[in-house]
Amino acid sequence: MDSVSIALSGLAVLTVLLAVRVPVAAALGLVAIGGSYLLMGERAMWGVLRTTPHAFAASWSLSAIPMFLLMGYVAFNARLTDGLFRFARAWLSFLPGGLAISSVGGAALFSSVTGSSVACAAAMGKIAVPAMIERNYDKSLAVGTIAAAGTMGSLIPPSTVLLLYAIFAEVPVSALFIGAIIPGLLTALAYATMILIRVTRNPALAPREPGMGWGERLASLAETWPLFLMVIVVFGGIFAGFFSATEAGGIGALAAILIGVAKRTLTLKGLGEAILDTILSTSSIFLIAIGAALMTRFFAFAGLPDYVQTLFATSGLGQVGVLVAIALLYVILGMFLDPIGVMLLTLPVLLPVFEAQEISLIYAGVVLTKLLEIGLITPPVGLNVFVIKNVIGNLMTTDQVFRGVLWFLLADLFVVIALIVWPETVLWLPDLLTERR
Amino acid sequence: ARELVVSTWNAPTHPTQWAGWEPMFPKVTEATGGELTFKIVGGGALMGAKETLQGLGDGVADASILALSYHPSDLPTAQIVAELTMQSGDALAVSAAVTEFILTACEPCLAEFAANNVVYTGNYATAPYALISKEPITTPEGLKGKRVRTPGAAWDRFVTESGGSVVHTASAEMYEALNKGIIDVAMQPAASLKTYSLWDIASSITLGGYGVYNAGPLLSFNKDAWADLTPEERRAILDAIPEALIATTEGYLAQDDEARVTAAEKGMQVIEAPDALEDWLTAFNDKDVGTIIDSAGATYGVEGADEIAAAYREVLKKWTDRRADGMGRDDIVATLKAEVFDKLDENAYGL
Amino acid sequence: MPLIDLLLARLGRLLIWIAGLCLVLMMVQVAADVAGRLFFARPLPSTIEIVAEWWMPALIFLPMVAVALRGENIAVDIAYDRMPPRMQAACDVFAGLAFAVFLGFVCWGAWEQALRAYAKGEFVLGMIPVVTWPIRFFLPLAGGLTMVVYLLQALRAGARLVGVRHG
Ligand code: NA
Ligand code: NA
Repeated sequence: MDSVSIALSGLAVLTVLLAVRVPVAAALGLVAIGGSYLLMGERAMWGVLRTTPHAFAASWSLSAIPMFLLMGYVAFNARLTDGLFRFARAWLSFLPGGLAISSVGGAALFSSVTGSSVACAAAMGKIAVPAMIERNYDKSLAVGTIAAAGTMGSLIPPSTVLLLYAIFAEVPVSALFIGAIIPGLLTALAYATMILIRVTRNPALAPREPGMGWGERLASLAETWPLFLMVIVVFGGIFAGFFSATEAGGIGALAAILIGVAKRTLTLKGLGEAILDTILSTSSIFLIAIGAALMTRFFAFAGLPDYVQTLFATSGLGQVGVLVAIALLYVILGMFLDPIGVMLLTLPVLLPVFEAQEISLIYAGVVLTKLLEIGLITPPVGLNVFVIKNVIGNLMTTDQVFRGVLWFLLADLFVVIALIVWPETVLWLPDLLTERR
Repeated sequence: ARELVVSTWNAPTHPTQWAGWEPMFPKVTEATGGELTFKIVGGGALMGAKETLQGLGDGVADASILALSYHPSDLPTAQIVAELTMQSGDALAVSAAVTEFILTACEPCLAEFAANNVVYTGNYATAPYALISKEPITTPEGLKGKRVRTPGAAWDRFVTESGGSVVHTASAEMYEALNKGIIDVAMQPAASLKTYSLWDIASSITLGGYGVYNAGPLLSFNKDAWADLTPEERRAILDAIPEALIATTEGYLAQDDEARVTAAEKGMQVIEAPDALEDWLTAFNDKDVGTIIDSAGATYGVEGADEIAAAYREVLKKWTDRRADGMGRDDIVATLKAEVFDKLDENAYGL
Repeated sequence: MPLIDLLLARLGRLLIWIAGLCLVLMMVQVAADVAGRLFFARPLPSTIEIVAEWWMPALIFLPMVAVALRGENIAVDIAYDRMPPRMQAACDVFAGLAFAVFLGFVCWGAWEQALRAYAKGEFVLGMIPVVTWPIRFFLPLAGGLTMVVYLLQALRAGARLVGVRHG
C-alpha cells in the first residue's frame, strides 16, 4: 500500500472510531499513532509522541484561548451580560418578531466578549429562550434563533477558532479579527431579515410586542455599559497599540473581574465557576488539538497535502470552484465533527491549496470559520443545538430543535454565497485599517 | 537506493531551501549514481523549531535544519558562539568561521551533538540585523527609552546598555507590534521588511554591526541515518555542503539587498552605519565578551568558556581578514572544502 | 472500587485547583507585563516564555482527570444514540479502552521526555533563563491518572454488558 492509501485508510478508520463513540481526541490520536508506525517506523513514531503534545501546549500565542474563554465566563457569571437582551429588546422589539430579532442582536453583542460559540448559545439560551416562550413565541422559532445566533460567538471577534487558524496559517490575529467583523454582522442581519420575513408572512409565530419608549431605551443603556466598557477596553487597546491581540485576552479577563467586583455582582463562587469552566473547556479543546497535531505529522509524512494539492491543481477548478468544493467538504465534515477538530484536521491539507490558488489566507480563514460555525447547528451533531436542548430540558426533542434551525441554515447559505461572491466583505476592513506609511 | 526525509519548519521561500537544499540535493543524488534521494517535508508539518533537536535525534526525520538557540540545555557549548554574534556582521565570514570552528576546534560541541544522536555538518548565516523603526535612529541616544524587539538573548544586553527596554514578541506579532507602537524598533535583517511586510509601516532602517544569526546548522543528520549511509554517500554529502552553506548565506544577502533597494524606492530612509552608533557598538562589544564568558559558566554551565570564546574569535578573525583581503565566494567555498571538509573522514566522522 | 473512585475524584479536584491557580497567575502576569511596558518601560522579564512553558501546559494537562471524570471529552453520539443498550455498553468498553491506549502511548513518550529534560536540567532562553523540566512531568502524571479513569469506565461498561446479557 502506498503512503497516500495508508493516509486515506486512516481516515476510514477514524470514521469508524468516531462512530462507535471513541472521543475525538483519542480517535485522532490513535489513527495518527498507527499511521505513523506504519509509515515512519517505531522509532520515529515515539519521536513524535515524545515531543509533539507538550510542544503544542507550550505556546504563547495559544494562551489567548483560555484568556478569552475566561473573559466570557466571568462576564456571564458577574451578570454583566444580563442587560444585553433587555438592551436589544428596548431598541428592536417594535419589529415583527422583535424578541427573536433582539435575541440575535443580544447574541451579536455577547459574541464580542466571548471567544466561544457554545458559551454564547448557552448564555443567550438561559436568558432569551424563556423570555420568548413566556410571550407565546413559536417554540421552534425561539430555540432555532438562539442555537443559530450562538454561532456568531466564534465569528465575531474575539474567537478561539480564528485564533487557532491564525497560529496554523501564520497570519496576524488582528487582521483576521477585523476581517470577521463584517461577515459576523452580515450573519446577524441575515438572521434578523429571515425572522422578519417569516413573522410577517405568518404573524402567529410571534405575537406583536409593544415598542418601548426612549426613556426605557436609555435606561437599558445604563444597565449595559459595563459590557460596552469591556469591549472598548479590549478592542480599543488592540487598535490603540497598548497590547497585542494575544495579550488582549488576559486584559479582558482581568477587566471583567474588576468590573464585576466594582459592581458587586461577581461573587467568589461565580469567579470559581468561571475559572472551572475555562480550564475544563481549555483542556478538552487542547486534547483534541493535540490529536489533530499528531494527525498532521502522519499526513505530512504520508504526503497527503501534496496529493490533495495536486488533486485541486489538476481539477481545473478556479478560485471560486476551489472555495465551493471546500465549502461542501466543510459542511459535510461539520455535520459530524466539532469546528476546532475539523479545522485542525483539514488545515494542513488546505493551506497549501489556498497558497497555490492565491486565495488570501485572511479571507480563507474567515470563510472557513463561517462554514465551521454552520456545522454547530447542522444535524446530526450540532453542539449548539445540544446546548439549547440542555437549557430547555423536556420542552422539545433534539430533533424538533434541529427543525427549528433549518430556516437559519437558509440564511447562512446566503451569507456564504455573499462571502464567496464578494471577497471584499472580508478584506475591505483589514485593508482599510492597515496604517500605510 | 535510499530516500532521506528532510524536515524544515520554514516555508519554501526561505534561502535554506531554495538556495541551499534544492540545488544541493540533486548534486548528491547524481554523485551517488542516483542511490541517495531526498524528500523535503516543510512548514513544520513534521517538527516545529522547538521540537527539532529531540525529534531529529529520535529519528522523526533523517535530516533537518536546526536553530541552536532553542536548545541551550542540550547544546550549551555552541551557545557561546551564538552569544558572540555581534562580533561580526560579515555573513559569509561568519558562516565559514562557525562551521570551521565547530567541526575542527570545538570537541565539546561535537560531543554535545553526538549526545543528542545528531551529526552536525556546518552553519549558514543570515544577513546582518538592522534597526527597523518608524523614527530614524542615528545615534546611541536614539535608542534611549525605546522599546526594542530583539531577535534573542544575545542582543538584550546591547539594548539595555543603550538605555532601551527589551520586548520579546512572537515573530508573527512583529508587524502588529511595530504598527501599533507596542515596540518602537525591530532588530531584524532588511529582508524582513519584505517577508513580514514591515516596509508598509516602518519608515527607517539603520544598518550596521549588529551581527548576523549564526546559530543555524543547515543540514544536521540523525546519527543512525548517517551511519546507515555508505561512506561514498557520506562523502558526497560532505563534498556538497560547503557550496550549500555559502549559497544559503548568499541567498539571505541577496534577499536583503533586494529589500533594501525596494525599501528606498518605497521612500524608506536607509541609514548606512552611522559613526556614532558604530563607535558605541565597538565599545559595547569589547566590554561584552567578558560578560558572555562569565555568563557561559553561570547560565549554560560550560567550563573553559574563555578558551572557547578565544578560539572562536581567532577563527573568525582569520575569515574576516581573508574577506578584507578580497576573498570571493568561490574561494571561500574552495578553502572551506580544502581546509575543513576534505579533512573529515567519511569512515569516521559522526559515527 | 469506591475507594479508588474517591481517590481519583479528590486528585482530580486538587489538580483542577492547581490549574485554576495557574490560569489566574497567567492572567495577572500578562496584565502586569503590559502595564510594566506601558507605564514604566519595563516589561516583566521572560513573560512569553513563562506563559508558554509553565502556565499553558499546567492548565491544559492538569485538568485532564476532571475532564474525563465529568465526561467532557467530546465524542460523536450520532450512531450511538440509535443503538440498543447492549451495543452501547460494548461501545463504551471499546471507547474507554481506546482512550486509555491513546493516553498510554502519549504518557509513555512524555514520561521518557520528562526524564531526559530532568537529566539535563532543561531550560529556555528569554530575557532571563526559564527552567522548564518540572513542567514536563505534568502530562505523564495527569495523563496516567486519566488513563486509570478510562480503564475503570471500560471495566464498568464491561460489567454492564455482562449484566445486560444476564438481565
Ligand atoms: Na466572539
Ligand atoms: Na453539525
